Amino acid sequence: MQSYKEEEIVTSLHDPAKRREAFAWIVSAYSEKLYWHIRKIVLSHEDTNDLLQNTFLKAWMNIDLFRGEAKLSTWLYKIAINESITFLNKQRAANNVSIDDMDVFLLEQLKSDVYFDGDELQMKLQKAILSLPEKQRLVFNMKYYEEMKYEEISEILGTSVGALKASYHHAVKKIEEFLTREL
Amino acid sequence: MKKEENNLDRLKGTNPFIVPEGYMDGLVERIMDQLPENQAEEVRPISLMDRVRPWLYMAAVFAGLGLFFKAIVGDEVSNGNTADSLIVNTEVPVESLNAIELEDEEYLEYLEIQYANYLMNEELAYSE
Repeated sequence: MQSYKEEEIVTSLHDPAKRREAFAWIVSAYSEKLYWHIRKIVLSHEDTNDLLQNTFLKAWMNIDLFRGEAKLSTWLYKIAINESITFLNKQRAANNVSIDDMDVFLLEQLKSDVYFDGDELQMKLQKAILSLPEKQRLVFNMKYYEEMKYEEISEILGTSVGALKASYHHAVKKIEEFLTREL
Repeated sequence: MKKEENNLDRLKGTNPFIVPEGYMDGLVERIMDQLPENQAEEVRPISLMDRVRPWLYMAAVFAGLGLFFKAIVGDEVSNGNTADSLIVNTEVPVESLNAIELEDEEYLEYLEIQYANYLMNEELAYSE
């Protein structure tokens, strides 16, 4: 998205007459990206669909708080991540699953998900990703799948670029080792 | 090590996650349809009364406590009820002060009489 366009959109968001039209443009620009971002965190399509809706609803309800200091994408990604992590925590509590067993729980869900069409290697990769700590998992997904720049990830997660590079390096190493053991 | 790198490289760009057919086509419309018509209506503006209300409640609580204190403790003090060891009554009744004044006058009069009698006895003894 070109920056001048984003500036126009932010200006329109604060004009009640143009607000809805401007927001529709935002949904059009980011809904698919955010869908895949959330999907990689919660894995299930149905849950992703609900969380995507909640993300845009929360953004819409709090649009007055967005002053344009950060990029629109950064703001939306932050909301999406918060919604997804809150959802996973609630899901874990509702199913009496411990933090250590959450990866097993999600993997079992994935195995029975009709919207997952991966082979054995893909399933092992998901298992390896699920074994990572939460933040490493986020960093890996954003870099490996979404090919985001470290600077962009840094703004979203509030972590330095150096720390993110180290985190991604550790994540890749762990996944490589995991795949070596499993194959 | 080479083998694992090949695995990640081989999987790079593939996406095992799928969506229902046509899901992405109507996504924007479906999301927009779910949003309330005007978000400004949902966020109620904060009125002056909303801002002042907590202070009013606090003032009411203090006023209530003050009245309660006056009603319970204030009455006991004014009734001179000093049964409570923490309450010390330092007031001296006016009647008591008057009584002291009266007693003083009587006592002075008594002393004057006594002194006069003494002088008279002295004088009589001297004349004899």
